Amino acid sequence: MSLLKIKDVHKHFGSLHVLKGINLEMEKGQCIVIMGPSGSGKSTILRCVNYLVPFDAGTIEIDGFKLTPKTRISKQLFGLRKQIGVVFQSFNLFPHLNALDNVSLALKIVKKMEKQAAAKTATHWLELVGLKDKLLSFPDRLSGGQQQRVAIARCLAMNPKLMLLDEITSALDPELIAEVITVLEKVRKLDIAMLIITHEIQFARKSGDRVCFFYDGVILEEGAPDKIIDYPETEPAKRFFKAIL
Amino acid sequence: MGKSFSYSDVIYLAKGALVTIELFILSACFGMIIGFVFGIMRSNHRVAVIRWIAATYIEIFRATPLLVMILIIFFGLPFIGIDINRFWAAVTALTLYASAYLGEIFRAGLQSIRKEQWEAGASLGMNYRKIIRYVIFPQTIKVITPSIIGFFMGLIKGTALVSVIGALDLMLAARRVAQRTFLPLLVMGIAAIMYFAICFPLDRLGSRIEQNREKPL
Repeated sequence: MSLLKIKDVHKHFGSLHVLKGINLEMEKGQCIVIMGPSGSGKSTILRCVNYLVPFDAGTIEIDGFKLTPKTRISKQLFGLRKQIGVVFQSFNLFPHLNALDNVSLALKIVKKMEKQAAAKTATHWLELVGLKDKLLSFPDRLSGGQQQRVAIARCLAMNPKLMLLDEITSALDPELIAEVITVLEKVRKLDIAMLIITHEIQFARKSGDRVCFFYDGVILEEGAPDKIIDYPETEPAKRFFKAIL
Repeated sequence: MGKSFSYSDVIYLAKGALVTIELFILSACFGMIIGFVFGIMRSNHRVAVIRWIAATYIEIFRATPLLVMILIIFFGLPFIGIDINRFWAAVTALTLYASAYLGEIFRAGLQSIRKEQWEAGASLGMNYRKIIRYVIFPQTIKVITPSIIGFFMGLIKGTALVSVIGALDLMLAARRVAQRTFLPLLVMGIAAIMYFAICFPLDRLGSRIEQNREKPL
C-alpha cells in the first residue's frame, strides 16, 4: 500500500481555483520533488496533506487515514499531524524558546514524553543537524541556516512517517543554503518519505525519486528528475527550467 | 468632634488606602481572567457568533463611563432583586470595566502573533488549547505586559470613583477627613502621596519589564 495517495484534489480560495485536480502517489521512503512557478499550487497541496488547509473536493489518503472535504478537526487529525512533519520556508521556530525547547516542546506535550527523555531525544536530533553547541541559543541568536536546521530537527524528533518541506531554502542566503541541503541529504539516508518543494536542482537530481512539475493548479509533468529537468515536454516546463538552470 | 488633624486620621486614611488596594487587586484579578476569555473569544476565527458576543461585551463596557457603571450596579441591581453591598458593587463595576479593556489588550496581543506560529504548533500535532498555552500565550504576554501595567495604574486611580456610592476607599476617607478638619490641602496631599505610593511600584515594574524585553533572553 502506498504511503500517500492524493486523488483529484481541488481547492478554491474565493473565486481563485488554485488546485484543479491533483493526483499523486508515493511509497514509503520515497522523495518526491515538487517544482513549478509561484502561484501554481505547490504550497497549497502541501498544506492540504496535513490539513492545515482544508480542500473542496477529492481525497488524500495517508497510510490508511483518509482526509476528505468533510474531515473535521478531531483527535484523529491531531494524531495524523503528529506523524507528518512540516518544515516551513520561514522556519517558524518558537521565538520564546531555546533550540532545545523548540525541539522538545511537542515531545513533552504531544507525545507525553518525560522531560529528561524529551531533552535527550531533542539533543540527539540537534546533534544530527550539527547544532550540538547551540542547544541553549534562542532563535534570534541563530543564523537563518541554523534556524532552519533547528526546524528540521524539531520535525525529525517527532519521528514522522512523512516530511513536508516547503521551499525551506528560499529565505536563505546562498552560503547558508549549502549547509541546509547537506543536512537534508543526511536526512534522506534515514529513509523518511519526503514531499519537498524546492528549486535546488542538484538536490532534486541526487535525492529525488521523482519530480512533479506544477503549473496552474495541475501536475503538468511527472517523472525521473533528470528526464523532467533536462528534457521537459511542455512549453511551461521548458520555460521554467530554462529560467532556473 | 475635634477639628485638628491627628494620628488617628492617618490611620483612617491608611485603612481607606487598604480598601483601594483590595478593590484594585480583586478587579484586576477578575478582570484578567474574564478579559483573557473574551480576548480569546474575540480572536476566534472559526465561529462568528463567539467573536460577536465578545465584541459586543467589550464595546459596551469600554464605551460606558466607569462612574455610570458603578451607579447602575449599586442602585440598579437591588431593583432586580440582587442585594449587593457597596464594596462588592464597586468590585463588580470595576471588574466589568477592567475585563473589557484587558480583553481588548489580549485580543490585540494575540493577533500580533503571526499566523505561522499557529501553523507550526498545529503541524506538530498540538490542539487549539496547547497552541494557545505553550506557543501563543507566552509570546503574547511579553508583548502586552507594558499595556497591562499602564492600564492597571489607570484602574487604581479609577477606583477613586467608587466613593460616590459610599464605599469607604482612600478617596472617601480623605474627603471625610478633609471636611472634618477643614484642611483639604493637607489631607488631599496625603491622599495623593498614598495613591502615588500604590501606583509607583507598578510603574517601576513596568519599566523593568520593558528594559528586559530589549535584552537577549
